[in-house]
Amino acid sequence: MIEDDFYRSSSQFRLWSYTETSLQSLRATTNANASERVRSALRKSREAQRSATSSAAGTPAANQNGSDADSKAGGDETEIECLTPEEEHQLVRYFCEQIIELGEMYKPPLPTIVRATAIQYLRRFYLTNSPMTYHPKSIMLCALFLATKTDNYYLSLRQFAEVIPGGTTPEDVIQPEFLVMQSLRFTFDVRHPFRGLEGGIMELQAISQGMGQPAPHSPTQTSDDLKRRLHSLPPSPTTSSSSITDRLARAHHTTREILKSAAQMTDAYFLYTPSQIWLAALMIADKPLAEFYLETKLGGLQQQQQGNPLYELRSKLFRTLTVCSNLLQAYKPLASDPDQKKNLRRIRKKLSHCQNPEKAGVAGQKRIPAAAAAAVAAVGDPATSESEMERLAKKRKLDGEPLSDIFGGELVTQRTKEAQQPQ
Amino acid sequence: MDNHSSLRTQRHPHLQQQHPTSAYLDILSTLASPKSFLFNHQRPKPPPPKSPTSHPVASPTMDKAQQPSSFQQLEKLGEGTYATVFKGRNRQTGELVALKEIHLDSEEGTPSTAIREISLMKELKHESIVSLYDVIHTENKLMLVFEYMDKDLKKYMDTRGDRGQLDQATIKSFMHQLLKGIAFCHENRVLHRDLKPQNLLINKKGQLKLGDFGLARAFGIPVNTFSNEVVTLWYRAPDVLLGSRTYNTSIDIWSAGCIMAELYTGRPLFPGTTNEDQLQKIFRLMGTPSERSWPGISQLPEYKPNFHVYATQDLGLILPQIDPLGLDLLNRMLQLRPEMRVSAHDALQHPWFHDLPQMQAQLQQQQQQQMSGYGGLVASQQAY
Repeated sequence: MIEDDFYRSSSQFRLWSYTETSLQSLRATTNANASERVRSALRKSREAQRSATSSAAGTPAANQNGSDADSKAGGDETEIECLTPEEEHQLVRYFCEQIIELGEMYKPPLPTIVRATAIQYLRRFYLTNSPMTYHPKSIMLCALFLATKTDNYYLSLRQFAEVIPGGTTPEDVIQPEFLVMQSLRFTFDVRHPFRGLEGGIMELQAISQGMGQPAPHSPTQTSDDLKRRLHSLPPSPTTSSSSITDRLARAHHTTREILKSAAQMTDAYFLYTPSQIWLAALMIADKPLAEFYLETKLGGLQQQQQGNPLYELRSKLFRTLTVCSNLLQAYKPLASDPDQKKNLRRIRKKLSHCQNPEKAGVAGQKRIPAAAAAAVAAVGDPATSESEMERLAKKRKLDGEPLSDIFGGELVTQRTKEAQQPQ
Repeated sequence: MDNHSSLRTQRHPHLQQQHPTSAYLDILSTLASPKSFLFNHQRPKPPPPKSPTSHPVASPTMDKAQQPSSFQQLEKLGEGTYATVFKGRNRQTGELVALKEIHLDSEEGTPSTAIREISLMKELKHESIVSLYDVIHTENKLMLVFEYMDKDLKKYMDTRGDRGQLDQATIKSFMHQLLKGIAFCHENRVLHRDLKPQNLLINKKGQLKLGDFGLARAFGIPVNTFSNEVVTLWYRAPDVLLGSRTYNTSIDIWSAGCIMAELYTGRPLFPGTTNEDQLQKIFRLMGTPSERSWPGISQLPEYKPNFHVYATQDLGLILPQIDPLGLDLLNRMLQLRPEMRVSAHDALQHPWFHDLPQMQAQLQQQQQQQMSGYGGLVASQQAY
């Protein structure tokens, strides 16, 4: 078996690889289903509220989401505005960036791999779940904690929760764990492009020292030929470094940064294999170097005859790598883009009006007894139902509070505030 | 496929109308898995969106089921560090399964050992590795559904062998399957780390499969577990015993060597009681290594310059039944120096395995005779 066969047997390939079209249609379906449920749930909660207020005046508002929308709308038949798939996507990306931020706050910071795994969990989770149903701020915490377990980075739940700003309890973190595990279809192994990059760089270093292994298809080539060719590569347009060692180190660093950011925040993992991703990133970092590397594997321009299987493979691979590197290059971090930030604030505000009230909080296992009891109480006799409703309202408020401000705002702002405070 | 996706829906953790007591009673009354009570009290809700391109992992158990199936829980098979294993039966198909019930830790959520095991088993699909069919959960339990295997190798040896010793054909077949499983793990960059007869499972077809990946790659080399059970040292490689932190795939090969010898004698090759005793037992037979025979050994944390010096013994003396080719392979596996140990891939190419096809044919004949000896007892069971 070759490496590619192993990848094909991985759950990442079997269950989490898509074409652009299939990815898009999956997200559209998820969004449509969630929107439908949000609308019906909001309608139901309004009806329940109306009958509750008419039968028991003075009950404190039991809803924590809809009140604003209600008073503004004045009627319940107004169309509830749900998030679009694109808006959902933006929102999830924001929380992926938050995983990076949060990981930075631990001492020592959480390893890149743990954060990258968590980001992929979050992205996978929101292929079949909508932020309208489960708010990403609670799912992201759970995903990150889960990633510490799957990537062997041991941290107790208490230690993990302590660092999270906004009074998040350990229970809040693991509350949606089953839901997350199930949505991940119990496949926790994420194949990252980092390992491949390390291997490729090691190979290039070996070549630069005259210890490279010529590919089987070029039997006449020697390690010295490889070394000479590497040393005489045209300089990369982005770098002007002098020694080959520096050049490799720089390419290594730049590529790694792309893998840590753009590769995580885009759909790269869903659309491309780990090797395609790191090679595409290396192409962005140092194109002549990436082309040289591929040449050592697949032959160079002199082998350009049509019908040569290596030539076919090579052109196909180059097409894929170009599309992939375009995707990676299109990524702009939120923090550096005021337009995106503004748009995100709008999306978050919109979400506060279309969050499914049945799933308010998180996966809400703690809340289920209350919900079930409410269902029983609603059909029971009015006297008990009244006090029950009141009790539930209080309970829900209690349950809801710590969750409603897990971060007390955006992490970045919070950190800036802390920094600004005079000590 | 539709049926399958509806199964997935119903495994949803939100039992919104589920009254806790009734759920509990229901479990008691059906004596069954959490799944069956999920099905009985399912709140109708729209199925989650299906992915158009992705397919749920094919699971023999699920695919055969015409209706939502449940598992009947039968006798307890064993108690592990973080789980209890029960024999189970698929109510729909009658197929036997092993149900591994995970003890949930309210402090940390799902134990990371369980998550690691699920994670690995989802990737490692191979005929010599026990299959994970499904994962079922409710709000307070997690259950892994594994392919059913009749016995572990230790019990098999106790019941089948002549005072624990097995015949040549069986030994060769088991070793071949063991090495195939190990090779597959290693190709997938997974170290098992805890290979021992108790973790190798045998079925009535004479298949051997690697099981119990709970400790694989999870927390380094297992030491004392949370319960009183002490992880055995008997199959642990000398480099690990000497405190090496840079061990690799070769540690599983050492274990395989120890197991091979045990298949011949019926007794563990190096039954040490402590770390020091374990090393001494190994050195007494394999010879005490030195900086000359193993460059760098003196740098290992547990290395003592005053180790008692033993000369290397001939393994053949304590394994009179083994043939020269088998002995050659065994010696390649039981190399003290990790880098000298044969790889699983190369071991499978060893000439000792060349006559395996003939021996297997012979073995099959034997098994058929034994099976007919079981009579009605076997007939009532499925497949095996």
